[in-house]
Amino acid sequence: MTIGRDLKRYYEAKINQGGEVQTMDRRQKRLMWGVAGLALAVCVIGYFAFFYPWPSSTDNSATVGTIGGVEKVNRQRVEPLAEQDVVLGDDQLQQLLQNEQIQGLIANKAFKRAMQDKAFAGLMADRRFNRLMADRRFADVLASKAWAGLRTNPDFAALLASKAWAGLRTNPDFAALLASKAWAGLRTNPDFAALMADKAWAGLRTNPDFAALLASKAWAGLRTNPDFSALLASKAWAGLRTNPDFAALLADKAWAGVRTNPDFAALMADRRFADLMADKAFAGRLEKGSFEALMADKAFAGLMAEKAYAGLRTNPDFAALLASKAWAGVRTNPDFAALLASKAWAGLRTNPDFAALLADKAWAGLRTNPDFAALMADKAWAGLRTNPDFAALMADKAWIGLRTNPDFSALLADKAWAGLRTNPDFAALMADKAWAGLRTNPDFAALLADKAWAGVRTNPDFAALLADKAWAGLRTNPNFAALMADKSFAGLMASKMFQEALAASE
Amino acid sequence: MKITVRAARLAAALLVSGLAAGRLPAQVQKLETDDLRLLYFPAESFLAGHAVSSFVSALRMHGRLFRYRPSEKVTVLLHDFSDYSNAAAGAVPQNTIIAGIAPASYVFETMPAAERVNAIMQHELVHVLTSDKAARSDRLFRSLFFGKVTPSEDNPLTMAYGYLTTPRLYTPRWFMEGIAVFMETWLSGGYGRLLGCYDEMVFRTLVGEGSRIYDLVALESAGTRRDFQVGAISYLYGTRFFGYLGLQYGPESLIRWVSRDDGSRAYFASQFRKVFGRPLGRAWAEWIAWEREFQEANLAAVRSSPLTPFRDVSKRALGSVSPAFYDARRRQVFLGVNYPGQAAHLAALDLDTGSLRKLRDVKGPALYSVCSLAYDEEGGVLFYTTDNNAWRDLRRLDVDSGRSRRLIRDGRIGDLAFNRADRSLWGVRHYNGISTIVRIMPPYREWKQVYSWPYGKDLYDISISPDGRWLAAALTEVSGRQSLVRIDLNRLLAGEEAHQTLSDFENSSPAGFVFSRDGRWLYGSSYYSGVANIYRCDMGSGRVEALTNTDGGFFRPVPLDDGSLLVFRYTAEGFRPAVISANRPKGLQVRAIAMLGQKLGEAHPQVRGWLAENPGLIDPRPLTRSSGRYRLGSQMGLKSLYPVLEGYKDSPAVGLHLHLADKISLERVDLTASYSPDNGLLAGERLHLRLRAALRNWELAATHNAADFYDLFGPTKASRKGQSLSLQYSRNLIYDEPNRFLDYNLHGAAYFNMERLPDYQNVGIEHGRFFTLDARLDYKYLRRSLAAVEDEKGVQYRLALGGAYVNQRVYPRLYGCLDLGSALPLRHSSLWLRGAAGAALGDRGDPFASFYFGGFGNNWVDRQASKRYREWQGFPGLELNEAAGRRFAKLTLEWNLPPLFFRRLGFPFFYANWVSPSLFAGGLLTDLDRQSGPRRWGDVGLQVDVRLIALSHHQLTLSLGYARAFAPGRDPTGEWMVSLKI
Repeated sequence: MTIGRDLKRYYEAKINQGGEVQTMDRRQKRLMWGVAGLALAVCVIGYFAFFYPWPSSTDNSATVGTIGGVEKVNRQRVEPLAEQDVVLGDDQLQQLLQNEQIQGLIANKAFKRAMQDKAFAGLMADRRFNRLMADRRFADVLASKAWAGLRTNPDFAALLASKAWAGLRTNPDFAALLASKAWAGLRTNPDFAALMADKAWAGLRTNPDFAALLASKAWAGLRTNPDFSALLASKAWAGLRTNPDFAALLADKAWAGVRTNPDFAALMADRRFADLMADKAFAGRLEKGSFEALMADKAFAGLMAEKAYAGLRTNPDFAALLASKAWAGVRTNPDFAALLASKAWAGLRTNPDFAALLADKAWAGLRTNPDFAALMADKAWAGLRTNPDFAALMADKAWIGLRTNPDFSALLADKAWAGLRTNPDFAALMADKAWAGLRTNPDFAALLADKAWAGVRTNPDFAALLADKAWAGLRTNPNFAALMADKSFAGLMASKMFQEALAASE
Repeated sequence: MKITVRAARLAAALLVSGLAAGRLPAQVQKLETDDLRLLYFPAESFLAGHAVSSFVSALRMHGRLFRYRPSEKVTVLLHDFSDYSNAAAGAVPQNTIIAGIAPASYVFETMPAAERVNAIMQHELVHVLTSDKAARSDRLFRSLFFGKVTPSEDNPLTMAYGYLTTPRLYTPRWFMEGIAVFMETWLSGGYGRLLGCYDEMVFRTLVGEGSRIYDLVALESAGTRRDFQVGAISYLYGTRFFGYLGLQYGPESLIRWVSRDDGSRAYFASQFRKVFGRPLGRAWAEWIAWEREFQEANLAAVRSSPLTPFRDVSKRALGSVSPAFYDARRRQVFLGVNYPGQAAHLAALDLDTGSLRKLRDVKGPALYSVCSLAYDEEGGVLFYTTDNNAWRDLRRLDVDSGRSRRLIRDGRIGDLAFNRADRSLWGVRHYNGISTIVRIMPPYREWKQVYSWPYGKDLYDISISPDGRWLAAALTEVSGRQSLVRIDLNRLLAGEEAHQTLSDFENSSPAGFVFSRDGRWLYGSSYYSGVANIYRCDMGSGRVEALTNTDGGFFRPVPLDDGSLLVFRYTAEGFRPAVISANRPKGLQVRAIAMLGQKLGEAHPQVRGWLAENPGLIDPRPLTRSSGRYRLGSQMGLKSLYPVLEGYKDSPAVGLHLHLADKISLERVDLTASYSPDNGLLAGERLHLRLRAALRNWELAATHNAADFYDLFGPTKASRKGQSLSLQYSRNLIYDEPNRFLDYNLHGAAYFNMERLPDYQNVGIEHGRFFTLDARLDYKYLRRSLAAVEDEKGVQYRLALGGAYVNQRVYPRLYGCLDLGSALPLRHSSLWLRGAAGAALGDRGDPFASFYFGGFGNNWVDRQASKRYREWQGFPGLELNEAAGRRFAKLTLEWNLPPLFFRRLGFPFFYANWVSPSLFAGGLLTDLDRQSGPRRWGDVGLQVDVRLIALSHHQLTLSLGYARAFAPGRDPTGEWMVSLKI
């Protein structure tokens, strides 16, 4: 009503101007009242036209709305609640529950059954497992054909359930082995694969002599010996090891006696004998085979005159050896000659480990072992023994630790393993790049070591879950991976609420 | 043939092994205050605190207004068993509210948009207090009977006891819902249905069309049956009547009427007379007169501006309708419809001829919206939902071939919209109270979450622009505010939810907004003026303008290719498709209507003070007395104890019945003990005991000289001398709501000192000690149309295998039944073919190796189904158990004639609802392996059922029947039947 106030002010001003009420003339008064009355009328009309009833502070009950030509209905309402008035519990989890992956899980029968297993439920809530599930490599492994074949493979299941595996999976040597470069190279090596599949190898790996040999100090020294490696790699050796005479020689009783003879050992180590071996003429005498023929060689005769070798001259084994048929065959064998002339042999024959090996009981047993012979003749072995990875593996500390590990031995002897090592899926898995990444993943290692995992992997519901088609889709879904990586997810899995959501969906 | 015991044991083992280790029920959690026992599944725990606060808020206000304190804790069970919010409440035998937490269906503004848990508490607590609050006499009888007696058909005297302990249970639905809606409106600050425009529209249309407004009796007898809104009509009438009374006499008068205070009259109509000084019937008539006048004024106001012309397309109204889609190439509109007389179905409406062609039934239709629907115009594929009152399935239908198949089971997705740009299907999924926008790519088998709204916000009526860029929808919020919004789909898919409000229609429910064919406009409806008119919104400027002025209501606009709009206009028979212009008439003026609720609020402003306390200000923690896991069976208690009257053979017996139950009545124990003073009975037969204990899927029963109330009336006797002990296990194999189920039942029993077969009263036996073991598989998929009195089509079958072990002999038996039904073109008429066949092993004539047939089977007063002739042992025209045989085959053809609904026959406390006649003819072959050939029987008959309603609550069926049976070599025999089913 500002018009009224203005009028009042005007009138008061008029009063104050003159210190007394200025009496307006009649006309002016009439005019003033007329204006005032008009203004008042305008106010009243305007109010009733546009504002009555007064708009509610709570709602829009005015009859004039904002849509042209449309009279708004008079409907007085007070908004009873605002968002903050609805106090909820943890609705973050509710949001997560809306996700289709979670919904798929909840509806998945296999998953529901598996979740009723405490170990599995605990696993799903484990942050390490969640990280793993978010790991692309893990997803790739789980998505691989190899894994698909393996997870339903009874050998694989048996292996995972075996005590040996249980011991190994926590073994640092085993972990180190799996992480080693050598292993990385070997596992893709077809020779290695062939060797692992070899029947001879199957026989050998359960052979106590073989085990003892591998455990021997001599072998430990030899296997890192470059001469030994060179010897094993030499053509001469390749020819010899398949030579029946050589085999017969090694099996010969006389040879058994000679090789343990200290005089013979000393002779072999003698530089002069080495020189003789290199001499063509002496080689020719060797061919004659008799001691007398050998003695015709001045240098050899000189050696035999040495006190150190005196015993040899009268050694019946030595004599018998020289008279043996096997020797007859070997001494004329060009490979043998080449071997004796080789640098490797030159190094080895003075090597105490080599001597010790030759004297080793285990070796004695092995050299007559047909499996060993077969192995030595094996093509795969031929390939392997020149393989630097194999050499590295043999030199590997972890391997050293493992080869004496009873679990490892048990594993190698395990029937399930026998089945697995010829399994193409297993080979494929071992060759898989993702697997390579995984085996160095600490979460994966932790998983394998986890007690819960131990329980889960033997759970038939878990197996059913892995075999489930829907699960197959889920685990390869990148959104699922992202979900697994979500911080809230672990909490969700662990929550009673989720458990009961599963149960309620029955 | 003698079956070895070994074989019998093996069979028993096989049957028992079917008792798969029952899974434990999902754990239910509880939270208790002084007045509340809140039960919920852990997934709903996030709502528990708010539920407690809402309950306390509502109870405080109801407590103040009604001077009410619950006689016992109110058990509230929260659940997520359906995709739309619903709730039920009762006070007998204990105070219970069962509340679904899903978002509500806001279609046509038939439900308030306020926050649902709060609204449910405000509404449902009224139902509890209406029955629970007790006057002195009620309290006396509750003490006498140790609780509120539940009327039970096993003991009809309980109807009287029920009235004595809870007289306000015996009130019509309109009364219950009327007061509940009245209170919900004011407790929520005006967001209830008393201030709802749909209600105004219903009555304005009745008056505008010159249709009947039902009187008291007609409402219950005909209205709830014939109207396309069926039971919802009780809400409408109740709301209006209470609103009128509140306006005329003040809202406090309603409180005095409803509140069962000391000194109030037990019967609600008597109390009405006491409070309002006039009979209820007269007040109702006065209301109808007032309503006509009120609506005439509204109509005059609306009609003071030119009304929008329209052209009706179809020859008739279509009842409830779903969203509709126009196919320009086919010149057809596809939609879902549901009207009385036909099962809900998808249909094709020919715009040129107006004919409606049925495409496919819709299983589980929703009341107003039928189903969610989307259309791929290019592919000619309809996407629609079934099981709309449970967990929705998504299906597709090829409109040309008619082939339909399910895409996603229990996907819980509705509000469908098809994106033409990338052929994706979008929808809103309801799960655990949260609304989520989902996207479904071809082949439409899997949905992907796009965005989940915070609890309390809900999106509905979504539409996607032709270029696939925009999604338009109505968004409702916790406050009840609803607005029209648009969302950039690309941004949404990138994870940014940023909706733009186009218009909030100033809180007047934008509904059914769809894009124009060029994407420039959005067309929809709103109750902005109080009447549902069509509005259009300019997508560019956001400007909203009205296009129509109607005196009824226009909804669900569908842009046509000639620039016009197809709309659905509300009529008393339901929605009717009509075509209007899409151009805004020059100088369009739309006048607002007056609303009854607003008038009441202005005349009696004290109702504004009935606004319930803000639940956000109520901390539930200090109110909590206990919480944790709710163990089934841990809180079993005595619910009632009352005298009973029973019949044993031809003698009466008096006794007591004890009823125990847990807090949610999942577990019950009933024990009845009675004594026959008749000296004509042997001393050992005078005491009668019956025990029944039900625990989830299990039921244990034991009897000693079982007696039965209905043996006092008529030839059919259920009482038996002897003892029995039985154990039963039942379970669903298929539970596909609302009407497809497969159950199996295993039942083992031991009987001692029996003189007659348990199932055949006229068959005496020599050996009174025997054991039975039965396994049964029951399947049913039965459907009925709106307002039907019984199922009209479908299939049901049973397969039963069992046997008896008697006197070191085993008597195996096998039988099966198959019923097939089809609806006829006559309204609510159906034809059924019912077949059965069976075989038993044992000597011919041995009662344990025989099946028995004969009679209607009804007693003069009965509790079992009225049409017992349908049962496989029934054969009207013969005496009970007259026909017998070891092997049988039976076939019955039945025609259910259209029922006749009574508009007004009776009084408010007792009236007739409908009469339903059936004709049947059957054939029976027994002793199929008899050398001289099977015995042959035939019968024809008629039965007429009349439904009666007593005291608004009890449904009685009076049946009259006559049948004539024939058999070669004997005279035909006839049988009359008169029965009152309680």
